[in-house]
Amino acid sequence: MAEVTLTGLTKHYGAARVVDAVSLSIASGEFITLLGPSGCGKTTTLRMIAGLAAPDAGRISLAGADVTGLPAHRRNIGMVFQSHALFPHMSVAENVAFGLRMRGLARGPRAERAQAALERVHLGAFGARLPAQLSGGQQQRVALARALVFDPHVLLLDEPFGALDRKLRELMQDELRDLTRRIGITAVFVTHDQEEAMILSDRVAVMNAGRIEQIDTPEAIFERPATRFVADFMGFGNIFDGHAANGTITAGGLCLRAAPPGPADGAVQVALRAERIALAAADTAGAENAAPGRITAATYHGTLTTYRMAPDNGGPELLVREASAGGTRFAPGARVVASWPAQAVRVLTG
Amino acid sequence: MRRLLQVVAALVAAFVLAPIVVVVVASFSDGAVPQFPPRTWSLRWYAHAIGEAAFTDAAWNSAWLAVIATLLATPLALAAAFAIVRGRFPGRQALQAFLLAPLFVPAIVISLAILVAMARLGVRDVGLRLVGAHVLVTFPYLVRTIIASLTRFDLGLEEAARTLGAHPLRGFLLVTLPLIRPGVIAGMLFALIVSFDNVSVSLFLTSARTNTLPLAILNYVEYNFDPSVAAISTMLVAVSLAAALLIERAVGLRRVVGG
Repeated sequence: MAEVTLTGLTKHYGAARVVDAVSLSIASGEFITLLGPSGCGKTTTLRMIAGLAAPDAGRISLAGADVTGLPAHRRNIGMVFQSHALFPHMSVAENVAFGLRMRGLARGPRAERAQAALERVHLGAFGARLPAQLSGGQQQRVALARALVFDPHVLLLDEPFGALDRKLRELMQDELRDLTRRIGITAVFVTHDQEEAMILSDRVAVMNAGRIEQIDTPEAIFERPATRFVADFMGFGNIFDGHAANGTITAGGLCLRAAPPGPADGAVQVALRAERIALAAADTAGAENAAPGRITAATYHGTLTTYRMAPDNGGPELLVREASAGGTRFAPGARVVASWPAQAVRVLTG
Repeated sequence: MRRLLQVVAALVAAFVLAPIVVVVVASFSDGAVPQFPPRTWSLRWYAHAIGEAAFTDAAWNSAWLAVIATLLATPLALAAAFAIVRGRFPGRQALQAFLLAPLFVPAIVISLAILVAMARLGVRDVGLRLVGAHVLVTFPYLVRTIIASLTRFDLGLEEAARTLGAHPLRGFLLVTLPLIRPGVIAGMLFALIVSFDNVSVSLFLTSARTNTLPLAILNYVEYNFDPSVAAISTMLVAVSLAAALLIERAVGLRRVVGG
């Protein structure tokens, strides 16, 4: 059964339409991420589900009931904010118990359940402290415990790990994934970080200009982007306008064969994954797609090294990403042959 | 340069404080007129001042007036500050300027305006007139400090309270109010002092039977020049100083909470 259903959700700020007829159905226990650049409407969508922003049009239903007109405090949702929004004048235990207090639970059971929730996020010994006495990661775990303690219909998370450093963020992502799977809660997560979306989600909805461009499993979004925007956001690196004739696509001077092949004839857009292009110093025999050329730039990123390569036949420059193996392999000016499998070429539909 | 600044600061402090020091020291005179420094020291004018019904009655009036006016002005100021900080309506800036206007308009003009307005409204009871007028005079001080606290307040906390199931009013009482409390308390102490010290507004509204302390002192010195006025003044200074220290503590507390 759908736990959360959005139907034609629309929101304007002034003349700008920040959320544009978003429809989405989220199954019970599903973890969905709204992914997109800042200003794409993902946070506004989340705030409308929470009841913190009112839609101009469309409907929201939670657990089968229409809540479009219901104020936030009557929706039974748990929300985690980027700023964690812990109450600074209350102890950690009081913070966690706040939602239970609002639901009229007596002091005794309240404290018990708050303690259990704190233990679930490994902070059982921190109940008496003030939020300011905790580290950033601990604060965010308290916020998570506070949002989950009253068994909400849905857990909403608005870039909760945006303020944490990379290592801590990865740890928190693991914890969040384990916790939400274990208790089987429905969750809507907002982020601009595609890797975070991949790690956490059952499904990812990529948003652009107030609309959902594509919604699918992380793997499908990453491997088979439908639109130019999604391909670009997923870091394909090479997106070309091309022309298909007899099943072969030409873009500039490049000849690309795609698998699956896409339309036989007409104008197409193709995306070519930068990390699936292999560079070799000599001709690579038997490659489906290959182009000789010259390296124009090399940048060492640590784990990865990126190259730009200008094909000899005057086609568009190729971006190539490869795992660094003991340093930069080619210097600018070096002659190379780039080759890639047909599966790395993706014909875009929009 | 730094040394020069210190000297200037010391001179300014001396210039401001010297008259008060003279009054405080003279209040301990033993003779029939204030002397500086007193030839003989005594507390007898304190006893005289405390025994003078004109002073004690007026002091009680002033104290009650200050407390009632502050308690009435505070919720009004809270509502006004909320509207100004949170509201999204045209003319917000104008409203803020308007509400703070009593700070900038000459006191005598305000006093006259209140007198005319009270007469027009037919408010004859002196107590009511004074309370009404003092609410108006203390209000801008409260609005100003509360606006300062609210501006710094993180709206996300109220939103968090709402998502946790708190009705907006409950969220305000449990989250917002405790966090802006230092600012509110500082504003209330300001209001108490402003009301207690006020001469100009009270001057137009008091009667022969109902007087406030500053006016009682004014009346007294018209016909008497004994050190009891200095004694009363010294006690007033002490009370004001205590209030100022409390404000400092409240504001200091805010730093602790905000940090």
